[in-house]
Amino acid sequence: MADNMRRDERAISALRALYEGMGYRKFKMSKFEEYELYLENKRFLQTEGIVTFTGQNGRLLALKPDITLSILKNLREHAVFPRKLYYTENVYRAVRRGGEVRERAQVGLEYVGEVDLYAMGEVVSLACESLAALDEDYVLDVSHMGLVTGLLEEAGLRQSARAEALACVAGKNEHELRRLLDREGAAGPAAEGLTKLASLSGDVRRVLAESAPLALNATAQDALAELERLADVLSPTVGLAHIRLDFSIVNDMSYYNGLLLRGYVPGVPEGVLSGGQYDNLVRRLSRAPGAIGFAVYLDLLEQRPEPEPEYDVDVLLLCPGDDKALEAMQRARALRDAGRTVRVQRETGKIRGRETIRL
Amino acid sequence: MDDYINIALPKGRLGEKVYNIFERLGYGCPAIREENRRLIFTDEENRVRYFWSKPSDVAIYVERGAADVGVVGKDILLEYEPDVYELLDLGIGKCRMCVAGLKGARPSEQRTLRVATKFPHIAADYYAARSRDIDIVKLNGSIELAPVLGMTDVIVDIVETGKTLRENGLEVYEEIVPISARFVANKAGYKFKTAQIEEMRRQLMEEIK
Repeated sequence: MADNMRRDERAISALRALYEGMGYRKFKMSKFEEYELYLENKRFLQTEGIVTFTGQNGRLLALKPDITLSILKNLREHAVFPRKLYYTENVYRAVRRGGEVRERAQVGLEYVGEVDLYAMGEVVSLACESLAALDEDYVLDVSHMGLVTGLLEEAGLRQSARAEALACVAGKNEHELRRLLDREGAAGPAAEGLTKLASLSGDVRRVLAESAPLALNATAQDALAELERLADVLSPTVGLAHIRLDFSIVNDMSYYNGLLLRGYVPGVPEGVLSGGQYDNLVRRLSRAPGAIGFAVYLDLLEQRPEPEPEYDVDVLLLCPGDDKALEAMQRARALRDAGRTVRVQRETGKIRGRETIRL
Repeated sequence: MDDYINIALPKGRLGEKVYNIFERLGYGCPAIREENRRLIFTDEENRVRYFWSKPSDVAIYVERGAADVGVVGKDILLEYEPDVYELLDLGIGKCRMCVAGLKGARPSEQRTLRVATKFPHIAADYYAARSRDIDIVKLNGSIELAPVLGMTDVIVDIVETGKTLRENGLEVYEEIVPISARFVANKAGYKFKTAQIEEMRRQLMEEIK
């Protein structure tokens, strides 16, 4: 029967097994939240279109664009950690800037608690396994906020220039980054380091070996040390073959403070997996010491070409009239119970059966 | 996904200039020079595929992965901000994004400034950074007409030689940003074809020096 599950259903089933297998429990939430929750954390959402409506008592509600915020809100009163939660929910957000808000199937997990080496290792390997369940030729990019935070500190750029510098790094835009650094009078190792962030990416061990120019202060050094330790626990377990370090991956500093994750599968033009360690947000919204998690956008997988099935059903049973109805019912049920798919109708029509039986 | 590199080029002078560069570097596709109205050209030997598209659409093809790489003007990138890697400034197709208006005049600071433009996002960002309130009139062509007819105070548009402005009695008031052609890449495509795309970038960098 598993053959008949649609590809996305199979994906969700596989991911759930992965997460429940590691002790994550399912988090079920309501479709709506108070709009306020999203307004206060706008930059975390990185989406402009949110569907709102007026609920009872005139409250402004929103169709949820995100699950993480709801999970954190839910854990507000909790003091016992870690909490390991996963979810399969629909979120309502635009796929890209300026696009329409759409219903998007999302699966994800959150490890809420002190993020130690084990937690990082577990979450990153689950990210790999999630991607592998979708396509064995996946790529998981890993980065660390400590690098860009540390280097921006060292470079001493003014606030307005920082946002532009971040955008250049995120776009691997070395040439414009150099021009900006020149213009701002930033030079020396820090400027070189920032430029290297835009270009340094690839094999984990090789990139770490070439990262010395980035280790200019404690923040950056700690980040590199963390990545090194992470590589040491990932290599003998999930393996580093599909993992790359890509320091051009950056995110909002007011939320993310550590590891950043972005996953890709062939055939889909944007990242299908996204996540990281976001202690800064967690500590603002709850009593948890930190959290790390990721989400998989299943709706993006639809774009992958799906092989056209050769047959619609295993057996096409042709029942010419009422006198054959009983036989048709008996044979159809027997076939189905034996694990085959069967369709009964008068004429073949457009249905393709692997086998056709005319009663 | 095959190992071909899919390249989106803008139709027109810039695209042809860029194709010549790619051909010199060994990414040629002779069929592209044939006189016809085809839009896609494949070269099996060099394992490249070229698409011609409207200049403002190149970024969309790259963002959505229909093309792995493309060449597009910085004006388009600034206006639409597609989520792509901007790997190189090719230094060709140079021009400037400017604010222009009637020669000798300067619009009053007291009123809301009326701006005609094909680039509403660029215009809005530019004036927002100056805390200037503006009324944007989005037009699709012959932007110079707007201030001449008094419909707007200024225009925000691309200026090359400045001839069109001068011929219509306009002049550049301010330069917003220099524009040139950029080599961009799809982020996911970059992950799976890193070596090929980086090689292309390296060769282009050598070529434009």
